[in-house]
Amino acid sequence: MAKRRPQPKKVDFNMTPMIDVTFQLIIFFIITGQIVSEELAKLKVADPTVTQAVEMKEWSVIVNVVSAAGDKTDEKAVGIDTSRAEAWVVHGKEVPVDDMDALVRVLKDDLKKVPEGEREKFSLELRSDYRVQYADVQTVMLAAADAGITKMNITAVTDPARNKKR
Amino acid sequence: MTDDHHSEEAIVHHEPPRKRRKESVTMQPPLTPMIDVTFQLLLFFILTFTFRESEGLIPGALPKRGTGGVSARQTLNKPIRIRIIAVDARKRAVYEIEGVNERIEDPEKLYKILIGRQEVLKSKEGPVIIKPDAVVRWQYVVEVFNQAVRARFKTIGFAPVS
Repeated sequence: MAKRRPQPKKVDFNMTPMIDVTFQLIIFFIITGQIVSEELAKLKVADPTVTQAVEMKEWSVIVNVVSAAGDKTDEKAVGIDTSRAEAWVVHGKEVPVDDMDALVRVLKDDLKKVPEGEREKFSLELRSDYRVQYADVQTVMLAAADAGITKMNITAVTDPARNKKR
Repeated sequence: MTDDHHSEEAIVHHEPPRKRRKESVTMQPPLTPMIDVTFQLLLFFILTFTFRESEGLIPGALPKRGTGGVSARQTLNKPIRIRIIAVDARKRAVYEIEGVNERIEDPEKLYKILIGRQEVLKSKEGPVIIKPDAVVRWQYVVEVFNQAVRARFKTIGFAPVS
């Protein structure tokens, strides 16, 4: 009588824990990741002591004052004059720093888009690299005042614990 | 005795041959495409992810043109003027409050002096006027502005660079 051959056993990896971990990682990245906004240029903002910066949402235009060093740290920006503003970035478009009139025009156009009754609430969000010299940032304030904007908020690093308390 | 033997034989059942059970088939949806997509998503998030500090806004007002740089909200109080002076090539700066014969480096100390002024004046109206040197780093300007907001001054302005 012929012997019955043992059937080959099918060996499978247990995929469940791997899928679990992968999904958890994806969820982590979705929750903690921030969608890169065209409005926000890559730069390092100021981080003051006991920051008063809070998260706000209102009618506003963001003006980024980008240093010649971009988002490089001081150590990596050797030989670059980090104190000079390289460009103003509004809505992802660069405005040359020596053309204040162009900036005033951009800001005026933005203000016009706001409904008549809401214009007083319209504010300038001044988002400057912490290394840029004051003289280069002041031009943005003056341009905004020329454009008829009366409110200004300065962007700085927030304290998440403080925001929770509010 | 023989009768008993016969009766025992008669009890024996002849079962019909057993049907062979069919082996149970385990049904599983194909996981490979789902895992492929999941890994692609994971790779996308890992590559595009950048750690960024959370940013917020410190509220303020803009100077009206031709008002000498004071904030839009005008008051009759004597202003508290804070100069920010660039010190050296390392881009350091110090603070100097008008009437206080001392150069301040620590923002906490600046805050305490501002609170002290408030108590003397018995008012939070201000105005506080920040007058930075042209070459001072923006970081120091934000620092002073932040401390003035922290001290709950209602009117904070910037003086134009001379």
